[in-house]
Amino acid sequence: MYNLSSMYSMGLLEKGILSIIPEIVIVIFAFIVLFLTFFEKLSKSKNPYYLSIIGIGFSIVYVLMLSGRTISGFYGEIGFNRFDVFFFIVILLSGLFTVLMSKDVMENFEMPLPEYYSLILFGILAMMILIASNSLIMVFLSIEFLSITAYILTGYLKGNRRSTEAALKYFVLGSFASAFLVFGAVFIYAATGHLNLYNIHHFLSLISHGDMIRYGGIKTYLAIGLILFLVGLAFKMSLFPFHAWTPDAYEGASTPITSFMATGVKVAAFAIFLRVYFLIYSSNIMNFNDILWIIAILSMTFGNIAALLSPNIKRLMAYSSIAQAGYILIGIIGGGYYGYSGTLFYLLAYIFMTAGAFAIVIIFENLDLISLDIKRYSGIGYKYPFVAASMSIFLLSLAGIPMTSGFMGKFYVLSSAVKSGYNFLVVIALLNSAFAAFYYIRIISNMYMPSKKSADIELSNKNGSFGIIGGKVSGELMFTVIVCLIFTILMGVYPQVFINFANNSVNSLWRI
Amino acid sequence: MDYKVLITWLIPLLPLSGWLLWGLFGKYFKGYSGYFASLFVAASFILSVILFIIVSYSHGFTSTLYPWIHAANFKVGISAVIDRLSVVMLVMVTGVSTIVHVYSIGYMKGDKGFSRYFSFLNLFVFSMIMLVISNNLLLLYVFWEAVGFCSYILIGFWYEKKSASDAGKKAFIVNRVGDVGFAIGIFLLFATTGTLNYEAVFKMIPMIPVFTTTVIALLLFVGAIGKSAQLPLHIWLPDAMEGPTPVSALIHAATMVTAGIYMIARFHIIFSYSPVASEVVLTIGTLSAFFAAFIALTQFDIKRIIAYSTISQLGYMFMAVGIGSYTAGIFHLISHAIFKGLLFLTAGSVMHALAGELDLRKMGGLYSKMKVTAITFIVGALALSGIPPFSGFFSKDAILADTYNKGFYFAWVIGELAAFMTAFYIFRLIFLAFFGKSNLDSKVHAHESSKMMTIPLIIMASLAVIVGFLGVPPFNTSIFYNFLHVDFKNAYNFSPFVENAPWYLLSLVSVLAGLSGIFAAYLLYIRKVVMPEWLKSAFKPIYALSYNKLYVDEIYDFLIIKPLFVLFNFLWKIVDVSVIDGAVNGVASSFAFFSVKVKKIQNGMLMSYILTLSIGVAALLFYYFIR
Repeated sequence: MYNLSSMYSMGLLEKGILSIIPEIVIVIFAFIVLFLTFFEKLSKSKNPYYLSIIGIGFSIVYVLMLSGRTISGFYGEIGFNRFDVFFFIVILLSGLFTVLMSKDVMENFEMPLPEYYSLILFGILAMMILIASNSLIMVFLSIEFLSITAYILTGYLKGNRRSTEAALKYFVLGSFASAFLVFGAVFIYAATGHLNLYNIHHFLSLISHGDMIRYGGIKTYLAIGLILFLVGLAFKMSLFPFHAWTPDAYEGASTPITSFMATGVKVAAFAIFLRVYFLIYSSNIMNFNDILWIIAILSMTFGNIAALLSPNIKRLMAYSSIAQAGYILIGIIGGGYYGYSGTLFYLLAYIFMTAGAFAIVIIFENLDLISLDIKRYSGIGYKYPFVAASMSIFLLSLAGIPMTSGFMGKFYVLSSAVKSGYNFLVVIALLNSAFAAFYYIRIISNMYMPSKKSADIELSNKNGSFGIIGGKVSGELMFTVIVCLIFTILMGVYPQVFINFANNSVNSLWRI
Repeated sequence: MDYKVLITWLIPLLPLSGWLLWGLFGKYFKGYSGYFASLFVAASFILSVILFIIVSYSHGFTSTLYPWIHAANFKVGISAVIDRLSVVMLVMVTGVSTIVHVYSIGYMKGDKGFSRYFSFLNLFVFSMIMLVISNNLLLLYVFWEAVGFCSYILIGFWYEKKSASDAGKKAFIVNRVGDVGFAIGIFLLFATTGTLNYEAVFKMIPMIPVFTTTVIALLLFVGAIGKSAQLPLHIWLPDAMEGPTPVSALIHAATMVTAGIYMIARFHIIFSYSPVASEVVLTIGTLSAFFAAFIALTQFDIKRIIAYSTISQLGYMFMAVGIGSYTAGIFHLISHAIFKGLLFLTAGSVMHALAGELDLRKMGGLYSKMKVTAITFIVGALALSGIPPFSGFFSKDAILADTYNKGFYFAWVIGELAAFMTAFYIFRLIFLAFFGKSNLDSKVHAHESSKMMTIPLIIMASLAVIVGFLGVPPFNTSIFYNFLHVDFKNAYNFSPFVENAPWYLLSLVSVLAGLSGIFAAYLLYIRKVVMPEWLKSAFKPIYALSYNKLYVDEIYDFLIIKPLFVLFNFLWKIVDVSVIDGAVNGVASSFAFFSVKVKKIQNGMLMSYILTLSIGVAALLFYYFIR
């Protein structure tokens, strides 16, 4: 279609570069951090950590600078519009929180730091490309890229049996899912003859406007392709029954990485699924909502039932994240302008409450006495008042108690489903969120209402900055907690700013 | 800014700032946080009175603090509806709160959670004010949950006591059941009307089919049953007495539990367009009024007697709103808030004097030792029994007269019977506790409480005398009716008056019912004409039914908790003990059964993971092609 000379004359290369500037910044910093390995002095200090933060910061700045534009680069393989801006910011924030959380944790383990931080940056990069990708090939490539960084990060605690085992499981299952993804992409290509998502979209709308006789045979191929493609993405979104890796990987990985997977990877997967769903799945000839509807119900129900009895906080959060994915999916099923913006809002709310909760899990891990066992949390509400109060708010938000972002998000997606007439789904979701409250509240009542046996934890020592004894908690963790707390409450009390942000981003989906 | 708007928003914001202040900086205020908290709430009360005067001389208005959610064509604001109904409620809520706050300073003196207590109390007042003034269903739901949450915290305030934290959990779980119904109702309303704003919703109600309206109304009523502790979800309220007594007076007598009645009065259009739903409200209300009074006859714990009495009186209010007499229901709500708050506070004073003793059998002869408490308690009891000129007489009579005149004779008979029992059980309490021979523990030194506690009692007692005169019969021409009825004029008149019995005849019957109840208690417990023990053995089955609270807890235990527990135990022995070791109580164990199976899938075997994944793929393909 294009030859080299016309490419230059049309400024295609410049456009291409422009569309990926935020990614380029991340790449540059990732390599700088990686090269620090060669200099022993530099790599031992906190340089990798600070460089990663600076890199993420620059990338955010570039995203904001470009935020008004709509750019299509590399023959339409990569796009940049408001929709991407929204998710870039979400991903970069999630990456920032991960880096901030990592400092304390990584100092406890004797692990090479530059590789670790550069892997996080590469992970962010992969997610950003995934979000921006407009063709099946790019989706597959970036998902593979993302998966490989995620596998390594999961197994990064060398010598830790759980970590290694989790990485292995994640890897094997992930390869399986990738195979399905690429297989699905092949079928879709076979059926439509296009790789670009927008071209497929046009092709499908053409068919649905008549011409069915000519293309009647492709329907089966397309259906198989779309189902397999869905499987590949559902794996990353950890939806039932493709969730199996989630609890093990979340438990085995070090907590910052767990947070990274729960916030970053999941959000990126949802972002690309939203785009693909909008362009392909929701087209008139294929009604996929029946399948998604069942998956959403199963994910919510399974996640909540399994979380109810998990004694380990990270495992509990893993199951809860499966349930949360179910709720988020409801927004996509609800569909339309309202449903999509609800999904975006929920995802934004989700990263703040989840990252905040994980930051507090790290704080409790670092403090002596306390492990990942929920029973050991008993009575700490009086020992660490601020941290425990923040944890309560994050958990209440996850449970969807009013005046928090979680409630707002849930209300938003559920009301969109009501508008589209999925009343039964909404009833199931409401019942689910009512039961889900039990395991969240159980943690809170464990913290504040200790049972007699464990009440012997002394309730004196309430002093110290931020209610932490001995100052063992770093400022970075506290900063993460406070930022997440502010946004969790703000999005519940004054959500309009964020709703507008989500609305504007969704608008650009329609401007093809 | 308009001064009306300023006043409107200062009313909730004062307690909110109080919550933040004592919650965050409680330790700097030391013992003074109680005084400041009372001052904040008192300021709210004064502003409410000003707002009341403004509204009664002009007309109601709505005011938006800021637009809360505005997405596509869906708009919801943080906005208030200030009309006659909400100002009446506002004055009552802030007034009772002020008195309870002042009382609490004396009651909670020296407690290690003093500041924490006042911060939660302020948070509750804020939530309750917002619940009353919110002008859309979403905001209402938010604060509907918030008051429940505050109640949960405050019931479990003395968490060291196992019974207290258990009672908190029970209240939370039972309320959760009601709230699910409420939430589904709201979503259904949203699905039908496409909006959540009161005015817009009410305008559309006459247009939608009666069946839908009925379903919505019933779902909303499920929420009210949970929050207002009506049969069969009443079980949490008696247990909630484990919390500090002022909390019981404020939350479990005057404010939160009346939210259900307020909600129905606020949504009178929805309920009045569905006669079936109103019939259900009437039935549940009547049954609760009767059976709660029946249970209260034989209890020995003074706070629990008053708690059952609350359930019974709330039943009367539901009767009123169920027959479309919304004004009468709200009138009883107000007068009940005062006299029942008074009864709880005096019970607290008794507890305080007896070092926490609640058992009637260990009291007696307290009248000579604590005169103020005893006299104020008797005033409250007379109001509760419906003896003129105390407020309960006017308000209860307004309901019963309307029930009769609208042709619900059966409900009227039950109501009069319950009134008889009410007088009996409350005077049984008085005769056993304040008169007769002293059964006190010799170590306990009974004494009158401090001024900080008795002055609120005297204020409440005088209010219990005065307030009734706002509704001098015949109720339909009284001051209160003329003031408030304006708000209910749009209701569909589904139950017109069919009789016109003269009010004095109906009142006579009620007063006689009350007096004979008191007289019966007098004969039994003072003159001892018949020994209560003899009665007990003569009517053994009935006595057992009442004493064991109709076996409701046991029935729930047998039908829901036991079977799940047995299953759970069975599986617990088979499967790895450590896995399930987290599950313990009630509803939580209902999931245990499933959880075990889930754990089996999640057993860490890679092969089975892959199998799950592949089965999932196969199922999806199969599903897609089979349908």
